[in-house]
Amino acid sequence: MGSKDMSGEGHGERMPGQVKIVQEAGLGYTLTVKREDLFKAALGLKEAGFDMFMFVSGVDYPDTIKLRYRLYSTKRKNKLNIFLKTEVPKSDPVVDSLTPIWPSANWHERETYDLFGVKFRGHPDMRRIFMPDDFVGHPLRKDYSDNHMLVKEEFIQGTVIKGYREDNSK
Amino acid sequence: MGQEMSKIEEAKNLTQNQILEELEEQLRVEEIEEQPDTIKTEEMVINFGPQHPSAHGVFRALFHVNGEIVTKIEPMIGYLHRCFEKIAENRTYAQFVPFTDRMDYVSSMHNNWAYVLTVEKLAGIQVPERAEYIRVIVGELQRIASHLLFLSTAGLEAGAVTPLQYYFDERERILNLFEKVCGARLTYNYMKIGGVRADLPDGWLEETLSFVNRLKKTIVDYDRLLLGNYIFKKRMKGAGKISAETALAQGLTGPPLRSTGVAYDVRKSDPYSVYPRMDFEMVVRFQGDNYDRVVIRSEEIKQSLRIIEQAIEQIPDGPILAPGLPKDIRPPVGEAFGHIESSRGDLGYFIVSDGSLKPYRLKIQGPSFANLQGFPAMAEGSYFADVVLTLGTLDPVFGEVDR
Repeated sequence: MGSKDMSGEGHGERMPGQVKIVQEAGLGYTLTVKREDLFKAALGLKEAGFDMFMFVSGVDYPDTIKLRYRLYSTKRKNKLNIFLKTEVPKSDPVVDSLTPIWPSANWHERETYDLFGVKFRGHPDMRRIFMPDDFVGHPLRKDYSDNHMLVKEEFIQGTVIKGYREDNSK
Repeated sequence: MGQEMSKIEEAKNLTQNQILEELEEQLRVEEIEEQPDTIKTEEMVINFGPQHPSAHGVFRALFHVNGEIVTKIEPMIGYLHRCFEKIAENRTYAQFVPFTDRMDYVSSMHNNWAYVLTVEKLAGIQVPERAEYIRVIVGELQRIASHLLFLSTAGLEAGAVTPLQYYFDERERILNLFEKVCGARLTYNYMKIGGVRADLPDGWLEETLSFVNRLKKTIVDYDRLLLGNYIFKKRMKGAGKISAETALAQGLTGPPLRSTGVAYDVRKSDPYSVYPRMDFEMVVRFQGDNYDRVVIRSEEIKQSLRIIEQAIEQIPDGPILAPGLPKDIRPPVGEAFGHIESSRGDLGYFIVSDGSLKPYRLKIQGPSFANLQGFPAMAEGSYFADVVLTLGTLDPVFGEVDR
C-alpha cells in the first residue's frame, strides 16, 4: 500500500528517538516502534493529546506476532486517529502493558493475552478473559490445534461411530 | 433444700442481670443507630448472573456489598464467546457478512455496514450513490429501533411497564419495514460488499416517510410518559455518575461517552457514506448520570428522523451494486480499518489481507466491550438497587462483548 512520509510534521517531532509517523492507505496515520520503545512512544502520544485507547490486537505471522494499537484524540481539533505498531517474537511474546497510561487497555490486553498468548509486563490482572482459566492454547494463533479436546479413540464404542470418524478423517 | 433454693435464686438473679445487660446493649444499639457511620457491617459478596433477567444477556459479576453500598464489582465475561474472529479466517469475504448479524443482534444493520465498509476500503470499491443512501436510511432506522428497545428496557428496569408497549409498537413498524426490504426481522444480511442486496420495493420510501411523520409526533408523548415521569426521574438522576475524564480513561464510546460532555460521534468526526451531506446535530449531555444516558437516546431518535427525511428527499435513482465486481473478492495485500457510529458507539473492523480469498486476520472493535469495561467505575459506590439500572443504561449486547 502506498505510504506518505509525514516525519517532521506536527507531533512527529515530539517522538523519542528516530520514529516516523507515516500515512497508510487503509489505516491512516501509523507509527511503528520497537517493542522496547513502546511504552515511551505511548507516553509521548498520551502527552500529545491521544486520550482514548480504542483497542489492541495481534496478527499472527510465522515468527512474530504483530501488535496494532488504535489510539484516538478527542482534544485535537481534527479528531485524530493513530495506529501504533510493534511486533514481538513468538519465542518471547512479552511487551510492556499500557494499562498504567490508559486504564481502558486492561480488558483489551487481557483479550490479546487470551487469544494470542502475548504477555503484557506490568498488567495488574493478567488472566484470560473469554476462555476458561484452564483452557489450553491460544485460539487465534495460526498453529492452534484443538486435538487435545477430541474424544480419545478408546472411549468411542461401536463400529458405526468409529467408521464415521475414519471416513471423516480421509 | 435451702442450698438448692439459693441456687435457683442465684440463677434467677443471673438471668435478671443478663436481661438487664441485654436491655442495656439494646439501648446502646439504639443510641448507635442514630449515628449510622459507626455501624459495623460485614462485606458481603453477591453473585450476579450469568443467567439473570437484568443482565441483558449472559453476564456474570461479583458485587462486593457493604450494607446498601456496592464497594467493588468484578465483571466476568466470555459466556457467549464464539470466536467469530477465527471463523472469519476460514470464510471468504462475502461469506462472513451473515456472521456480523449475530454480533450485535439488536443493531445488525450497523454490523453489516461496518464490515462491508472496511472490505470496500481494503479492496478499493466505490459504492453507488443510491446504495449509500439506502444504507443511511436503513442504518438510521436501525438506530431508532435499537434505541426504542433500549428505552423500553430502561423503563422496565425502573418499574415502568407501560412505556414498553408503546416503544415496542413503534419498533414493530420498523421491523416490518425491514422485512419488506430484506425478508428478515432481526438478522438482515442486507448489505453486500459493493452495495446492498436488493433494491427498495415500490412504495417503501413513502411508507417510511409516513412512519417518520408518525414517530415525530408520538415520540413527544413517549418522552412525557417515560422521561417526564417523576418516579423515573427520581430513580435515574444522579445515579451511576461518571466524569468526562474517567469516561475517556475507561474507553467509553457512543451515548455513554456523549452523556459526559465529550463530543465524539463517528458520523461527525470521521464522516463516512453520505453523512457530510446531512444536516443533523450531535446530541451531547453533561451530567453523565443514568438519566442523561436515557435522554440522549431519545434525542438521538429525533436526529435520526431528521436524517431519514433528508435522505428520502435526496435519494437518486441508479444501480445499487458496484458494477463489475467479481464473485469472489481478492483485496490486495494490506491492512485496513473502518468504523461507523453504531447504536452503541464506535464500531470498527480491522482486516489484514494477504491477497487470498479469505481474510488473514479480522478484528472487531465492539463498543459494548469498551462500554462494559467502564461499568465498575460507574457503579462502584452507588446503591445496590441502582447497579442494575446503571448496567442497563450502558446498553451492552453480549453478542458483541464476547464476540
